Amino acid sequence: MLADELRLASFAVLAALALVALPLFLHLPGWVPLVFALLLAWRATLVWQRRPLPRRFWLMLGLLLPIAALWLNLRTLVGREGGVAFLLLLVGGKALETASLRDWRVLLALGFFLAAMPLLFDQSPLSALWLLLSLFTLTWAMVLLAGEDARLSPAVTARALLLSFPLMVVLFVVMPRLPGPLWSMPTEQQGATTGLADSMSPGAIGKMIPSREPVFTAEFRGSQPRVSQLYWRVMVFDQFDGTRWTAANLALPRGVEVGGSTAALRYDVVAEPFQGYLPMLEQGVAAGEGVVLGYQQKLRRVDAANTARLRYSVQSVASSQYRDALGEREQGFYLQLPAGNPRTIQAGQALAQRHPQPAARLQALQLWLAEQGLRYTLNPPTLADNVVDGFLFGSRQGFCEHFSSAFTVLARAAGLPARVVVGFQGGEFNAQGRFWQIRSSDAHAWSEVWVNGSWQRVDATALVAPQRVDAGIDNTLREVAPRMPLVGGRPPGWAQWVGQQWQLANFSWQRWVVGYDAASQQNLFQKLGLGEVSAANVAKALLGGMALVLLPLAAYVLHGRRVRRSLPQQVWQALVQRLRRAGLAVAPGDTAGELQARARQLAEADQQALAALLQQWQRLQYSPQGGDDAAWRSLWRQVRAFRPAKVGRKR
Amino acid sequence: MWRWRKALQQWVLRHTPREAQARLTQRRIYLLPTRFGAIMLVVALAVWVGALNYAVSLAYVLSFWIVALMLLSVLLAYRQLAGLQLQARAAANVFAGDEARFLVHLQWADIQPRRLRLRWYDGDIVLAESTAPGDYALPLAAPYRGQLAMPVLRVWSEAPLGLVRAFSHVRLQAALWVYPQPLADPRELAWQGGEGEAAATAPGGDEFAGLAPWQAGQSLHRIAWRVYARRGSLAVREFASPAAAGGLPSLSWDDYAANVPPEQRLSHLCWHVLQATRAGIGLRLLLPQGEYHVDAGDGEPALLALARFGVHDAGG
Repeated sequence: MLADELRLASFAVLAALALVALPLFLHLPGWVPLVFALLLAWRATLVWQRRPLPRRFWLMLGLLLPIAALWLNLRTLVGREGGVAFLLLLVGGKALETASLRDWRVLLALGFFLAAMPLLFDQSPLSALWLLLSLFTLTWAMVLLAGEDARLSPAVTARALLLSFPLMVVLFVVMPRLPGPLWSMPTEQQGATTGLADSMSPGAIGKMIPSREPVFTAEFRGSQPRVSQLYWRVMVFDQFDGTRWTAANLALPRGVEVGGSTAALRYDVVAEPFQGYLPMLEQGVAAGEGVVLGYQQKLRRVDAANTARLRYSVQSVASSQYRDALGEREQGFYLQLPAGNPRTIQAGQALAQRHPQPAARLQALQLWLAEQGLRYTLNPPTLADNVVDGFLFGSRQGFCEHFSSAFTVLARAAGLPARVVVGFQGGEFNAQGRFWQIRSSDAHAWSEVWVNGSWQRVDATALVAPQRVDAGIDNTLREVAPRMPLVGGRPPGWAQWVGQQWQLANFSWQRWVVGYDAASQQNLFQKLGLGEVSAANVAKALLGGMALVLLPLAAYVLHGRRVRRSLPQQVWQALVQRLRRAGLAVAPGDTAGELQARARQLAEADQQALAALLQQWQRLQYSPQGGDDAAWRSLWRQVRAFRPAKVGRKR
Repeated sequence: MWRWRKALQQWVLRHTPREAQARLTQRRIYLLPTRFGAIMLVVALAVWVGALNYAVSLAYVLSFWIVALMLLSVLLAYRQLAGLQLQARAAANVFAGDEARFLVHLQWADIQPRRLRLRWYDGDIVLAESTAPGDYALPLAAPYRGQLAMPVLRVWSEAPLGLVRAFSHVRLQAALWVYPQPLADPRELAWQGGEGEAAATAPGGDEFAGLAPWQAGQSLHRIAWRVYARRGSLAVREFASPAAAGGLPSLSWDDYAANVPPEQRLSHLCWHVLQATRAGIGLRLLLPQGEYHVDAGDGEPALLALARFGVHDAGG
């Protein structure tokens, strides 16, 4: 390979590496990709100025300093963030000791490995697009390193990627997936994940509401539930410090009993864990593969530390209560109240005295709350100190967290064990995809009160604003209603349609690409009549799929382009084709004279060009030596460049 | 490892028959991943393990796409060689110590360009890179006198990605004669005796009177190939050619003492033949196997006789 070609290829490799690492700016401490970019730029400058590689000493310095800084910054060189950052710096260092063709190829291979790194953080369609772009530049650099002509290289790259795409799809569908990881991953510090926080204080959920960001999807098999049944339970908060509700995270094993006359709803959810917990419709009765139903009816991943998005199936009975035998100590735990909020506690105690029966007392508490003249609003005034008193007897304006918190405190004061449940309520049904889209704005909080051996759901918000549950939050609060960007106002029908299509695309993406796991594979195998995902069946599917794709591919690559005609015939065929494309009725059997006669309809310039080509063709065809290959090839190129304007258009 | 390699080479040589014309078909095209291809497979495996562990679907896409590119490369590399025809063209004889240049004609049926490389089977220098059909000159050192047959040729291609190499071995029927290396003879032999010409040519000095540009029609063996290698332009050894005189002096194997080794004798004889040719003098060359006439100005038969001395002609 010539030095200049290798230089061009080197730039391509460096550019590909830079492009591949670009999304890491979003996921790593910004200076790490920056150092990586600087190392690449350093190497590019050296290539540009044809200067030798730096001395080892400088390279070591340029590498060890950032690695030390990385250690100080993240306190780790493994795990997702630490490992990726470390790898990035090492690849940057490797670029600076890359000189020969072989070295550049190793660097390029590392670039392919690096392309997988952003995917550990994000698998949205956008990052898929970026992966595609990365693959193109990497393959382009590969083509250049293989010595391809620079002008032809983009086309060669595109062709290689297009032709290999079906093979990739077969492998993607057929190669077996494992239900669990090979080794457990180092636990990550919980980053700023969107969604529910690990505690609830006034305003905590209200902050999430204006965001219409999709958080998870659910797909019901069989009948669809009603919106008012959609209480998605995620977390349970059972400790109150006067302002904030938190989870004590007790773990007491015990069986619960879900009564109810209706049949269980079966559904699949694709969601990321919120603080380790996954949404599930109340009341869950059976959890599918990969998830477990635990204490307080909370659902979590089997591998609890994994924060990746997951697809799982659950069965629930839509009911507002479930039986649970609480011991004395547990009852006491669910009655604990901190000092403060005296007026609320007084009100609760007064109601308790008046209604000794727990069921009647609960009724009375709800009635009492409904009579307080409370208002449901997204922007309640800020409260200090005794927040429950301040809400119930002062501002009287609140959001779901105020309502659920106040009611739970009230119930505990009235001697009923109670706790707060945080999750989502409602969802939007996508009719095309037949799935439910739950958004950030559907976040909700409600109370659970233990009466007569059952946990009973009490949605205090619904006591004040019943339409929140029946019509969804979009129709209750003006702030949350979908709005057109820039212009404002309710979106017209077509915009809603586009929105739904986009949701559907996202859902399908999650379902078929990101969420394609062992379970989905099993489903697909069964649908295709392949049976279990076993070694024999995978081999069968692989062979079948490969044959299905490889045979036409081989036919195209090997025979589709091999023309058995002689060169002069090929040139003639190309010329006839050009004329046909221009709208002339010519046949390959026509003589040169006939061609010229039919070409009378062409524009003057085209006719002249054709005449010149035909003359050249005849000269080569009838010359004593029969014309050499080079001459025929040159004529072939001329014919290919001949683009006569269309004729015969009806006016 | 080394022994295996040796055995493999032997096997290749045994299974590459000499042929006038070779057409590469799937029976003789071999496909193997290159070193880079092996590295890429390791990368695909690493990405796959990561995808498995972290349950990252898009990483599966990346890993499988790399594998798919490998599979596609097998087809594309094979296509580069499939249907390729190789044919040897006549090659010029050379003097020992010079570089022989075998000519190979590459030809394929379709119009698509190909990217082929050629090297000798036991060498590691790329002799030629071809993208279009045509004649390619393949240099080969010719250190010894005698007949030089074209060695086994390796044709290969890694296009377009460099992941998979398609290669084939071809042994074409082509041979050329290597004349003895001319070696100046300080002694004056009979044919030089008394002629003024002989005095004009200082024995032991440079044989050439000079170089002149080569013109079509001139004998190929007069081309100074070393000069060509240095300058890139064809030049012929130009000799002074005074009018021939006398009858047919003879030049004999027996002019030398018995203790002069045969190759040295041949080299000296060769030098004398060249001198005589340059001088335009006819000669009789007496060798043990027979007698050869060197016509004035044409040393070819005599040189061939010297090259063939003691060599069994393998034909070709």
